[in-house]
Amino acid sequence: MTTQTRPVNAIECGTVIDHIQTGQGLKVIQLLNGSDQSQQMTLGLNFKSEAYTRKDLIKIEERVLTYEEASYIAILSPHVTVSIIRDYQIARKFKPKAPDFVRGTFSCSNPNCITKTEDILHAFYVSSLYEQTKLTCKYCEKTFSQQSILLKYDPIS
Amino acid sequence: MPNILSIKDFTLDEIFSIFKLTDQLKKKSEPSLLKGKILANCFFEPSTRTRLSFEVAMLKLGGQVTNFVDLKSTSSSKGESLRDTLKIIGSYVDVIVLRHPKEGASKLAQEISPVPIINAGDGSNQHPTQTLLDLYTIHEAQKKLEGLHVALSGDLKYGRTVHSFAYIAHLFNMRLYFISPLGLEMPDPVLKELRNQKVKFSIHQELEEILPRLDVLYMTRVQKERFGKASFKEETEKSIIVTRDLLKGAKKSLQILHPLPRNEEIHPSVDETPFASYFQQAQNGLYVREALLASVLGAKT
Repeated sequence: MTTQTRPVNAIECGTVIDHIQTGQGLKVIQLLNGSDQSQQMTLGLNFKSEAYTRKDLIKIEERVLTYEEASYIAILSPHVTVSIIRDYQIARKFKPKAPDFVRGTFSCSNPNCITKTEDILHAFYVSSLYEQTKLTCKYCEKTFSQQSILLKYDPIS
Repeated sequence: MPNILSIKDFTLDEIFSIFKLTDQLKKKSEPSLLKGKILANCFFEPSTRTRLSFEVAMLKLGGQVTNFVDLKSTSSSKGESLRDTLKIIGSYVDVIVLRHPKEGASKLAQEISPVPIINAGDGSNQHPTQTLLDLYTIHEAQKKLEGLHVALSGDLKYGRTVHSFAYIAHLFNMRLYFISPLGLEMPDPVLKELRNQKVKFSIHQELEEILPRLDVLYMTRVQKERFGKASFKEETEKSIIVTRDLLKGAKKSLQILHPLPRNEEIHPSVDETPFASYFQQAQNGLYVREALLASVLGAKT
């Protein structure tokens, strides 16, 4: 008889973000205001995955993500799966789609962009192709990948 | 067109409609077309041709012009934001021509200004009115733009004129060749975009090997004021100098363009050859800018 163990504990109520592209887990935490010490979060890195070989995973206790919040995560990791947990059961499961346009969440990486010197919200047009997301700055027209995009200090929540 | 911000915003029809209006204004001047209108030339970076040609274009159409060219005389030296500056200027005039060292400045300007914005260069991003006059000069001489073989040469990293030109090549199915000193190559994001647009291009070290195939040779100056000498190999700059001798193998219809000012990349002896189109190009800048001003201000000829 073999004993099966889970790599991270199940949660009673909250959100599980699964199939995060490896290397993007920390950025997703940052996006969701991981520095807020009142939130209990579990971050798993480089878990084995049947679909994607390796993946990152995040469990957040007592916080139910909205579709809008989840759609920003899909910018950083296009194949992400979000499960809303209630009483240890999956109450809802969905694959969020990245929005076409995003304002205020990310920051332009071009040091010579006008957004670096003027007090304005950074804005990007978003396009996805397979596992790659492209964010094109509305102002300087430079394009960045989900790996190279910078996060704005203020989180989305 | 409400604004001229990026060459990527233009359709074929819009480009040819600007050409048609340029032809008309070149044949017959319209001294009262923009009577009562005022243009503000807002140049946060030095310029000779672009600023003067916009000024003269406006005056030729009967409009008036106000300028600032010395940043020390403006409130930006007091720390005023571009947003505030342009909001106020936009309430005084009918159209703003903006050159700014930061990329995307004209897009921001368009968001806050109540009047049309014309981008006269934003950092190393774009210079759309230059591209329109480049295309007009080629079309005027060769009677077509479709399928032309065009080499972009010189400072391809920081040169906004070559970036704007490359972005529009797909509309005309142009074949592009890139030649630059080592360290000043066309940036990867531009190359990626060209691949997405299925533009055929290749990268070369020497002008000589591709010259016989070219319809247009677009030369640019190495913009040493934007970076230190250490950021490129100066000796490789010498392999892309156009001389009279080099042009022996060229097509008879080859046009050499240059947005000017030039340094040593085109030898003065080339000026006397039929290939030299750069002075014609600079002159056309006046007519194309007349057409653009008339277009953004909704004037009917």
